[in-house]
Amino acid sequence: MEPMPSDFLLKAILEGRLDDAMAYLTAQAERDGYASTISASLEPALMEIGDLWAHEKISLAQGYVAGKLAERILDAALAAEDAGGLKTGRRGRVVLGNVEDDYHALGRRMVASFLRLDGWEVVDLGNDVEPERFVDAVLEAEARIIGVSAMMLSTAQNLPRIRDEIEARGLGGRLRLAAGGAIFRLRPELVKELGADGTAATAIEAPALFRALYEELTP
Amino acid sequence: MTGPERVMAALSGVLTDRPPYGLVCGSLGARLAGYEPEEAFGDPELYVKGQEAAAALLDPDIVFTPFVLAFEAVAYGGELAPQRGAVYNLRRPPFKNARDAARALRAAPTPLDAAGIRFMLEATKRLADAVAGSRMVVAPIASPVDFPALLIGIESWLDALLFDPDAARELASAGFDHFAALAGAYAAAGAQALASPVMFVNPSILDERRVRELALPILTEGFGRSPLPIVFHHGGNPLSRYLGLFGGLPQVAGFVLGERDVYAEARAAIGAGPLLMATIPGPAFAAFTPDTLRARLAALFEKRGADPAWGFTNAGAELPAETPSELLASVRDFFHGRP
Repeated sequence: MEPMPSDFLLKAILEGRLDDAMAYLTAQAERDGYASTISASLEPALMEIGDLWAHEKISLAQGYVAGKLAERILDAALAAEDAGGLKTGRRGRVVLGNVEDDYHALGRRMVASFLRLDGWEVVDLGNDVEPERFVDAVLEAEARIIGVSAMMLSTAQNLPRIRDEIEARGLGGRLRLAAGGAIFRLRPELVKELGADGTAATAIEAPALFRALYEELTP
Repeated sequence: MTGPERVMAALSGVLTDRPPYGLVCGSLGARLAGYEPEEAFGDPELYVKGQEAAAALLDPDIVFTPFVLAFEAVAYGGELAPQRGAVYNLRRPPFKNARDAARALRAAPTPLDAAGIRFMLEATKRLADAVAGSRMVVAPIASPVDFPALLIGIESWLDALLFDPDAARELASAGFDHFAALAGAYAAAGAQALASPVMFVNPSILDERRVRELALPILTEGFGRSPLPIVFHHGGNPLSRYLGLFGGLPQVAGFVLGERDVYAEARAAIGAGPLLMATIPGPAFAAFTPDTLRARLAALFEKRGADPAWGFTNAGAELPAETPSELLASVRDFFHGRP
């Protein structure tokens, strides 16, 4: 049976009481360790929030608070002695960035938080990333997935240039391209049209997408 | 009958020869007039030539002054990001946090003489002169609850709204003078209404408690300082289900709905009176054919029923520069003669 999220924790996140949520998890981690706290308390709460978010029952701000909490608890866990199985990067490396001409960093940063908590090492290239830089970075990091964020159609239309760069270097079979951002939520058909391999409707769903894409590469 | 008369008739609940309509054609207009968008967004004369070229095909009731909200932040030191063939974006906001931004805003008068704002005001004046009352001139402006996001970035503004509401109020209050000064300058230049994309009072962005207690009071006070009627633009978020929250906003004469909104739900939530503008997303226009566009327009128009306070415009960003010009004529042909 899946662990149930704590009502207190869920309520604290949804009400934006980040410090209360952090204090609750920290107290539990002092007693049970961070790994146990994250798997038994934080992850069930994030699953519930992800479900509410996917069904548009909560706001972007509430998802943002969840992302901040994930980032803070992971930083605390990694600084603690019992990080053990939480060590970031255990699932591999991914490269994230906003597509060329795009400067809307919020979504990308939230995705990075949830991916890190899920065990990915994130190489974050920031805003306005040229196609060549994405591919150079993925090769340098020995990563297999590029996550590209674009908010508007005008900038999302730069995505095919990343696909072209991947194909031009003969990497199509060994890399996956994930796309995210408001425009893909509004028009999911663009994911394929613009050459991406998948998308997630919310930042909190990004880890599941990245795991699925990774599994496609390592059957 | 003129465009402003059609809009006023719709607001008064009177059906006329056709519903009022208009599309945001900054980049498209530039292309139609033979210029690059970058040229038109820097030269008021070229911008107006573009609008005239678009209006020759579309024959709209409503024309828009330059939709470049980023210029409002650039006036305070933000850095502009040119986009190929499209409206400018903001590469870097001018301030790091809410309190620094509030201090800076309070320390100096609204920089109406900054290059970007001067361009928008001069384009407004020339556009108003060019249409000479035949079309309603609408000026886009950042809403008082969204202007702070231009000044400090979306994430910092969200942080302030969530975790430091006093700082959020302080910055928003400091921005009221900017909103009032710019709205007044638009009115003096000949604009007859403002279009304001509004995001941070939408419960899909901010939780409803903070919307009611923090963001909506900011918007109410800010909008109350406008000398012009305001069209509340959905800002890319679902609006119809939340419209009941916004019925009491001062100066708001109409709402631009988004692609996912339900017209009947919107009218039921807001009641009779305000203009509700149905939309097709601007970026989607380039993919239509005249036939598919007519079919989409017919589906939208059917949902109006007998509601006189109905209009049409585009949602989201402006129409792409490469939109086929015959589509503007298709919109014109569809609405002409449809009372």
